[in-house]
Amino acid sequence: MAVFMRDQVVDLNQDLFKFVSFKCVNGLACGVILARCANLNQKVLDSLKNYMNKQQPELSAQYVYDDQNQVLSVILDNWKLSATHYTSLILKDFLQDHHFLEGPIVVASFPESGEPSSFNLSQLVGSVTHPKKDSKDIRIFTDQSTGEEIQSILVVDTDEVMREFVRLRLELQGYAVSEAKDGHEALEKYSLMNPDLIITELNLPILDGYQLMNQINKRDSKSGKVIVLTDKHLSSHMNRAFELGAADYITKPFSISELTWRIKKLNA
Amino acid sequence: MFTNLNLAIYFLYVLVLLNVVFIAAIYIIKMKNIRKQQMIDRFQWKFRDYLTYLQVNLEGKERLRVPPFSMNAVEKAALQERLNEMIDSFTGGPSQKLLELCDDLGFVTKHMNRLQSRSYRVKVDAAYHLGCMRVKEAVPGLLQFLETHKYNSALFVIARAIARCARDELDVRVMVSTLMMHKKEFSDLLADIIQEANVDHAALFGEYLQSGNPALVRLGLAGVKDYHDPRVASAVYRLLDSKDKEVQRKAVHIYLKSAHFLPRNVLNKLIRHERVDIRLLTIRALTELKNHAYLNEMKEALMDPDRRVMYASAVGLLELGNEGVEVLCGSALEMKGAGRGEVIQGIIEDEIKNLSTKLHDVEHLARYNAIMYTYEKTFDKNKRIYRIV
Amino acid sequence: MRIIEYYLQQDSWLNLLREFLLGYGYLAMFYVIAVTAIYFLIFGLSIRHTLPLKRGFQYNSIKKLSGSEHVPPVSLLVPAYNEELTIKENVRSLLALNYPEYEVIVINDGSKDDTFQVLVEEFQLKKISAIVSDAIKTSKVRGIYHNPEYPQLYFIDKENGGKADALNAGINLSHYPLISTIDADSLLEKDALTRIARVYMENPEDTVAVGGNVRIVNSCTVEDGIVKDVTFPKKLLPALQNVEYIKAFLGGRIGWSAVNGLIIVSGAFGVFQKEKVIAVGGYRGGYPGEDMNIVIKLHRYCLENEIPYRVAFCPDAVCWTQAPDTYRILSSQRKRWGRGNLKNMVEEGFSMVFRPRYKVFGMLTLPYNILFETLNPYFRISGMLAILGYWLLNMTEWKTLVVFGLVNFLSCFILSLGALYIEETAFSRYPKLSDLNKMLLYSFLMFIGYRQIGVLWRLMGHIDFFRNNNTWGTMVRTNFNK
Repeated sequence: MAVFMRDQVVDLNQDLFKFVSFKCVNGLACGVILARCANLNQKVLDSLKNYMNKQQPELSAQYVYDDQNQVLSVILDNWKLSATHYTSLILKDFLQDHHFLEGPIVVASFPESGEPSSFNLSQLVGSVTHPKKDSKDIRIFTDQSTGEEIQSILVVDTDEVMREFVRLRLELQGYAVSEAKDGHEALEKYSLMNPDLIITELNLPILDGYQLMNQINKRDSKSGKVIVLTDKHLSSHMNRAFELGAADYITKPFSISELTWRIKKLNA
Repeated sequence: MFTNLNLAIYFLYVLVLLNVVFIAAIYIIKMKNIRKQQMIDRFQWKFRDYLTYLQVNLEGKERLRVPPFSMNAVEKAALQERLNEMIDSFTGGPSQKLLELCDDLGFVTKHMNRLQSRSYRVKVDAAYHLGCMRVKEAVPGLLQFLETHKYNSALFVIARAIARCARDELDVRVMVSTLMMHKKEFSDLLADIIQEANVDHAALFGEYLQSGNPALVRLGLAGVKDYHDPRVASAVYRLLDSKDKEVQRKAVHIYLKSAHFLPRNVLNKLIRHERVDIRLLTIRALTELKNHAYLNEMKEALMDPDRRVMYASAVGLLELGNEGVEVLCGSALEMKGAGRGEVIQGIIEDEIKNLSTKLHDVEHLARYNAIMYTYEKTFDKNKRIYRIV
Repeated sequence: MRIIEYYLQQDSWLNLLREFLLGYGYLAMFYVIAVTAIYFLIFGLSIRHTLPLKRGFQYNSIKKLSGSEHVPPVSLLVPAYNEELTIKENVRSLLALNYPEYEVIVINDGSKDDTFQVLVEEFQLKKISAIVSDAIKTSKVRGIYHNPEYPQLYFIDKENGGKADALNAGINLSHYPLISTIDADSLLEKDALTRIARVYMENPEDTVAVGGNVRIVNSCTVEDGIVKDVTFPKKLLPALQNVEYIKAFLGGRIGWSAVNGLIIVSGAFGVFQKEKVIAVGGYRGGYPGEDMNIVIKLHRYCLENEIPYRVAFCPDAVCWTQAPDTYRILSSQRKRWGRGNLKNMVEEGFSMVFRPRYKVFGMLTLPYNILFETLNPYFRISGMLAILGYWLLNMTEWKTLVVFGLVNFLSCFILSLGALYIEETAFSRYPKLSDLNKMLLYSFLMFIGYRQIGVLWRLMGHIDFFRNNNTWGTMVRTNFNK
């Protein structure tokens, strides 16, 4: 169903919110693609729909164009992020070939990209109507909600003295600190206690720091930031750590006050 | 043989004596070691609380106090070792306080005296400990020791001690020139030693790079190996045309890593260089820069006579977003007949397979879809491998 | 018996025999004095170099080096044949070394068991199309496997070609200028590679090879790939081998490396300059002893091309290995060593021996090796026959024999003591006093049968060599029997 709206003051946010939350409440996923376009009309929308269906016969979507804000919304029934993103590529091709695209395309799928709250959805729309960059590329929406404050920390290092020292200092600052002496123990404790922050060395027996971060990523939970505290000074190590999602990388010898400051900064 | 029997018996007595002496020596050393170990183990317990005190108060303003109990020589040595470890683990304030503590404990004076000893063994031991404690006053004595020292492993122990104690660049420079007199090549180790000194490494290495002395140039190159400062790029610029192959290769590697902006003429020179390894380095660097301006160069490199360069630029194009993938797929199609096309197509398919296992990560998901989409658009749709909905 | 009696009564024959045996006696004495002198020289050098070596590793910040960007990257080559039981753990432990930049290349040499499946499953390896150099020809490579989640690990699957061939295939893939050969069942200490790198970095141009120290892990407690408790082996054969290794490594190799005459770098753990290894044609396959062979070739190459070089030994870099604990396996290992040693001497040694061009290696190491190691069995046997002859001809009295026997024994025993002295002074790995007692005991026991059997095994290895040589076509399938 392609719906075209004109001359109606439409609250795009509200409509989106209603639709998306309805789907999510019923346990279905909902993919959303928002694109900044100009000069669309009903005919265009229909030909778009035909094009999309030809490319992806299993597609079931709604096309809504908000003339006021110049935003095209495509809402995909029960489609997760991966497929939604793929569809956006097809969409972008079409829009660009016909010179309709004026700005960025934002892709999301709920609840995968975050809570289908009205806050998140208005953020989503905002990222299309008021983008930071005007370039015509595809961006994936991520939850902007602020993380909870860090309260529990897991320290992973084979060096007992180092572990003890860091634990002592952090406990003085009021954090709840647990220790692990190798990657395997760290993963166990992580699953058990779900700490807010993990401070880890890279060189660990059984499972090294990288494997640990990998496993944490796979567990798919939102908490569990990682700070790497290591004696490896190579930039290749740093790059790899950041690629695996580390929030920070501190080399030894280090300054304990710097460490605590960086932890506080993560809260912000 | 018969006449030599007495000689043999005499020899036998000597041997028996030697054997007994050796056995005795071994047992004595063993017992000493065991006793020392026992003392150290006991000391660990005694020392625990003091260690906690140190750790808790490292940040504070007060001076750290010496332990409230007395220690014998073995225990003092154990404590010093532990302090050395801690000094090496921390920077700034805590480190400073530990150094002061070492002074208070009398370690500094003790080792300064030992440095003047006549026993070589004692001198080296003193040099090592003075280095750990970063004792600035020791530098002249250490430099003197270094000058007359022969070329072996202990030479570097003293050099490292000097670097740790160095008061300023001059100390480091003198140390370097003394070591250079041995006319041996150990730039990597020396660069590592210099980085222990509390001076401006980048400036020093930059100076060496411009010096014109081949040994110092090599040292400079080793020193800036992992730097990303654009100033380093300008410092090595001259060396890009060096006649020495190793120097040239290292210079190119460093330049590519640290230059934030590659001027066109330099880029063209490097990417069309006659040496394969230079071309490879350039392609890999372009991959890291992820700048779309270099798309054409990467595309050209796909036709490089050396397969490794072709492979590297294919991999690089895959990381350059949608445009890169399109260029790559297009080239693969063009070169289909020439054999290269299939290889490139294989590389694309490998990457698709690789990414399909990582779709839980948003960035990999984006790349996967981009590559899949372009791939299917370019090649026959019937040749689909993967499709994940 | 009558015939012998007849001959024994012939005076002229007897005199001739007496002369011969006398001459032989002097020759034998010269031989024994020479070998003892060389032993004393080498062991003396070892002892003399113990303290300088100890200073080298005691005062060098291994910890700092293990994170430094200046440490050269190394490719570890791990040939594997039928290792399905232990390969998983061993590779995991190799991936956890405390070293800044290195890669682990495991080469499956056409294993008949599940080695391939075990590794691919454990690390989720996928086949990749990698570009390898063809610097050295090897038997067919079936595929190269990799998983970017373990970026340091590469797995080469190839058809069986022997350990040397597998190493060569690994060299073709390796991306770094230094290569290190590791046995699949060796346990490397976490800082072993860093320690060797330190030795290398002190003279990177000249150091073409560095050997590590191999220690026996039998009866030690191993946890998570780390040796937690070092204990002297409880069984007889490993215990004897333990003192043998300590004597050879600490007493021998330190001294030999001091004069740059080291003839072998252990295949279980050694680091080489890849460029030089390729220059000498890579590892020689098809026959045991490729670890000695490559070092000999390196000496030759550097000496012939007048390149300053050294083959170093790093005794603080430790690789733990499981020693054979049954007669059958041990004897087959020693026979193999004997065979390989002879082959190496024939192939490479004879052309270099006693030629001044080859300096210490040609003038000291090779003569020592040929005369006192390779040809040792023959001298021993002829020596025993000579003693028998003396006795039969009443040419000597028991007193002389006893004295000489004791002199011989004590001069060999003192060498064992020298090695133990080095162990206690510089390394002191065995914390218990009882272990020291055992070491002394087994050093003594070595002379009552173990060394003698060793000679026999070596001889049998030679026999194998001569047999095999005639049937060059049917190559004995190489595997890594323990």
